[in-house]
Amino acid sequence: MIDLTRWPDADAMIDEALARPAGERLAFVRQAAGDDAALREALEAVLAEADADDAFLPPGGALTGTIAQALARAEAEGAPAPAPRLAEGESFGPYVVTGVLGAGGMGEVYRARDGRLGRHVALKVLPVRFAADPARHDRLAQEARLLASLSHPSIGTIFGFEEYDGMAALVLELVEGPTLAERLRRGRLDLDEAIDLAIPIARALEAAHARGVVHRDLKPANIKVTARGDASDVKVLDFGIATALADGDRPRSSPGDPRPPVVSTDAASPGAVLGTAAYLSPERIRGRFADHRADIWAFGCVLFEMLTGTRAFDAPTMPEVVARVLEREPEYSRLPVGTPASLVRLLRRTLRKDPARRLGFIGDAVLDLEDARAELRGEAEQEPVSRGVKRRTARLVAVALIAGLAGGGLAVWRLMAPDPPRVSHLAVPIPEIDDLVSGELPGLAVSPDGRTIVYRTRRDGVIQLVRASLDQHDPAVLPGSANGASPFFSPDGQWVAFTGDLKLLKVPVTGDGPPIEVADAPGGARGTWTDAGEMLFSMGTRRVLFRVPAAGGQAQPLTALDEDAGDLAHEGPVALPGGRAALFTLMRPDGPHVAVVRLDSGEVRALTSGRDPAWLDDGLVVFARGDELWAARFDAGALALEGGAAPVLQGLEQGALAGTPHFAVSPRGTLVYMPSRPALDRRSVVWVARDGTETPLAVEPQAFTRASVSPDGTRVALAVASPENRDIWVFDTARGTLMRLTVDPATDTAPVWAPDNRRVAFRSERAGGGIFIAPADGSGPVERLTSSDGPGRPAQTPYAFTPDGRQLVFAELRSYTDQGLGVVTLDDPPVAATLLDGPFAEARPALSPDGRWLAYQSDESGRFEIYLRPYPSVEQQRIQVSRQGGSSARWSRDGRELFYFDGTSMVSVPIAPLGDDPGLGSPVVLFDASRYNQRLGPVYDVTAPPERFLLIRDGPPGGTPQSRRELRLVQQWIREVVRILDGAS
Amino acid sequence: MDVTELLHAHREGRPEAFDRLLPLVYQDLRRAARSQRRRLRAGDTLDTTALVHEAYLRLVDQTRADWKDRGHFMAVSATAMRQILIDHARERLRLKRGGDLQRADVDVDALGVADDAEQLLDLDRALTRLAAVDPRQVRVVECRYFAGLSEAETAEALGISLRTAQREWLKARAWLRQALGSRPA
Repeated sequence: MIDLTRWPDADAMIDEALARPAGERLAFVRQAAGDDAALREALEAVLAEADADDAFLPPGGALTGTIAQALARAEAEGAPAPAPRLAEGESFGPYVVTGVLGAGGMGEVYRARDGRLGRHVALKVLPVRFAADPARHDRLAQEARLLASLSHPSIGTIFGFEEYDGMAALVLELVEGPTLAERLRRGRLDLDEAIDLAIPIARALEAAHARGVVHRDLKPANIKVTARGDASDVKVLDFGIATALADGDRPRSSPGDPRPPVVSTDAASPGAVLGTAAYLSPERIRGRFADHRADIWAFGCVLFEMLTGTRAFDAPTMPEVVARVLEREPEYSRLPVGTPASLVRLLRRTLRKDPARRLGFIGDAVLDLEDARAELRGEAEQEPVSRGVKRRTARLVAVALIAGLAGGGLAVWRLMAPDPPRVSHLAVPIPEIDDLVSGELPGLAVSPDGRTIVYRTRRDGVIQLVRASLDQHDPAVLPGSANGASPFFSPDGQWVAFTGDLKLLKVPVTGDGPPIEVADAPGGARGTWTDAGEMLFSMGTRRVLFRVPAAGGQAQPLTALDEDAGDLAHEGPVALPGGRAALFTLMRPDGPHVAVVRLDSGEVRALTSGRDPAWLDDGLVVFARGDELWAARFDAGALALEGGAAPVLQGLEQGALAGTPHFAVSPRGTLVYMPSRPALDRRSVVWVARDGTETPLAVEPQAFTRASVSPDGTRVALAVASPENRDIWVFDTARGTLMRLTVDPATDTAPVWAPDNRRVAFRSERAGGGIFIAPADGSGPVERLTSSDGPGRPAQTPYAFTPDGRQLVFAELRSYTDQGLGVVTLDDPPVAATLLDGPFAEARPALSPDGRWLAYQSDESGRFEIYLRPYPSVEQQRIQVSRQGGSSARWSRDGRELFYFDGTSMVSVPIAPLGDDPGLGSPVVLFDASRYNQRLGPVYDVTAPPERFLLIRDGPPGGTPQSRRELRLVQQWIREVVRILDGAS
Repeated sequence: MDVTELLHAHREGRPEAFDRLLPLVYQDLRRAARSQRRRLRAGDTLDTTALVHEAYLRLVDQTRADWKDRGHFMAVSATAMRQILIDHARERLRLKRGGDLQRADVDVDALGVADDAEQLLDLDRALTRLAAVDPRQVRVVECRYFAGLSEAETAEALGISLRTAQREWLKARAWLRQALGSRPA
């Protein structure tokens, strides 16, 4: 190892060498080092770094990897404004500079004349780093193209992004006139004028939001006041530019892309920073998810400032501004006398700290402003009813257009024209009686004309397939579809095929008629219906693709596994038009691949990584990678992808165990999908009986992460997360009191009761981290049981005490790539030891009540299954309990049952008798536990008989409506895909 | 002393100011990172630009700040960012392996297969060993690799000459390349 500290002169030698031409350095150090070989080698190694131009430790490299986004180089932000790079009369490509408009940390702005088009434009010349980095440059150009598509009379147009002579610039519409900031320096606006200006600002935002573009830096300095006839008008400048510049390191993926917030990118002076922060919404200041509602907040700030002449949140220093934004209400008393009530209401609704409670759609503001104007002119509302209808309709359309962005409201698939001219993100209304099922089986289909969808739902306690149509009012169950899955349409849209446990079936889409058997399909089928009247499908019990006439018959294998290539399975075929080939998912050890098979020869070719491909007309293939949909162009002649793939949609719901993505597309480009559920801060703790009946625990909804009931059933330990901390609380079920057990500022979580009912063990990150134990009533000190200070700093999570309370089994992340089980014996001092340390992830251990058997989950088969081993001699025997995926094992208190989560339901396996060789009964489904699913299955606890399961669920306790999943439908989605691919190419 | 005063003290060459700044900056960045991370979806990563910038806005009194303070703040942030990135990498790997199962906010299933978490952790361990040999080189690496500072900014931030910043960077690279078993191309 190089250690130059031994040589006091080494630094001088390096400096000397570096001062010489590269070719002479080696000779120099050889001579300087003389016969000291160690020194010579060390110096050579150091000098080699001067020439090393490889991927090793590039400057800023930690910030460009997957762990972090690139950190914009600080140079521009800390440096004084650079001197203008272009002088009057100089050219930038076809543009001739005619004046300097301004300069700031994000570059200089020039007035220029476009020699080709003869028009005057504004050139925003970007700092060198934007031009220097080709990847960043490309993405910025792509972003600019998207922004350029935004056309609205009140939006300053972005013409494009151009680069000449190593300089990159955004070409912008040149808007004459003062900015609103300049205007406001002269004082507040009259009510009339303020409303007249606010309406076009709101309309500009509305138009942009409908296109999925968020401004992100709305403030008076970005609003130009122009004249239109006698009246004032506005142009909102720099739409989306803050995002484009600050976030130029990440490809744009979808209109709903929730980008992390970026505070002012124009930090050349403290004043500029202050000027931006005053319009930042609380969620952006906190660095949280920020969407179009941050613009609505900024709009409220601007409106307040127009009406009062003072900023809504003003203070001399940044911390005070921030504090005001976060904690204080604006001084509404500053509003001028005579401000219409509707205007005050609008301000209050736009300036709510909690974005969830804020005005959701800026289009509503236009209506309020029009109301205010009418109020001001003394025009009483003449037709309150029709007015109400107008408002409602406007809002619903707004919901429809923005649904993909806002993650908000339900509604209105039916409200829209069946074939709208543009991309429309819609929420599909799901009846109250339906509870959409996700899980590992596909459950969505959309008809070729995009007018009918089929979804998989739990209705009347039974999983069924339901058809919903634009043409019909009530979604209806498809006959014979109980426990069905994997629906797909015939090419003419007249039939829906689906699978039961054993058969591939088809049924008229009208529901008029019983299901007709097409083929045997043990283990269920996933299929497609070709133009040539054939069905292709994969089977749960076989690993290749099959074909069968759609009229029915004997299925024949279509593909064969290529064992040499490592093929594990061929799944989920989708026919390509023309009947020549089909796409499917090719499972290999390195993960799923999108693949294509020729129907004449069965020849298979892998195309790219991803799964569940689907075909869109115009030669497009979409497929899932994780929770994202990706798209690529596909040459149907060559059966190969053309060009690269690009992400086109994020946030698909996935099955919890195997990651099945829940979406379907029609070839003409209608997408239906189940959005992943947002992270919820409000969860409830509930008791669930064996039949699924829920009883809430009387605690306020919070971000609970784990709940554990004391052996005597009188108390519940709860792990509660807040943005600031994670702590453990103890709830007394008899008295209904909640007491905080841990107060350490470090994370404390994962409580487990000791058998004595008196102590709670938990994981803590305090003092280096480890497992600790404390009296449940807080009456004594917290004691350490294990330490995470070992190699690799393992994270240890307690799970199960032995009946005598002498030992505690825990799960442990032991190295960076391995998770196993450990056990700590509660001696003085406690002694920790490894219990299971296989090459796979062993997790969530549970000990039988007699302490003789250990249940746990392992992913050794490729997915989590439940296994049993004798305890403590875990190496003697291993019994697999679950076969179809299982996680989160718990024992009944009598040891006669083992419970686990199978990906959808809570399952019970009878065990009798508990002895040297436990006999396993058949698993029995108890209740649908998907709503308690915490990604890899719920962490829960079980009481003594009659068993009650202590579970955590999203949202408030009670009715399913709050927890229901929803469906989104995107009409004309194909246009969005094409646009993104065009932008990416 | 508040952050602004500590920055000034640091600029005036009082080394203890760095040690007092680090926990403040780390805590703030970490809290911001955590609240941002809780809202991330699979594949997303931390927006460090926003984090550092916001921390600077939150912690430094702009009316009293010199533009040079930004460089010093970046130096402290560089060390803090290393810790945060490493914590994040560790977390990702833990989730990838199905660990910490009760943390439900992250889409465990979809966490990427190929990422640089392992390499970052290897580097972190190597840096910890390098700190025993030459702590200044570690600071240089933090500034350059973890915060993306230029040679000149690194020199300014650490109060060393440009030549030293360049030399120590080469020495650190050579040492780390050997420690990580990576040969020049």
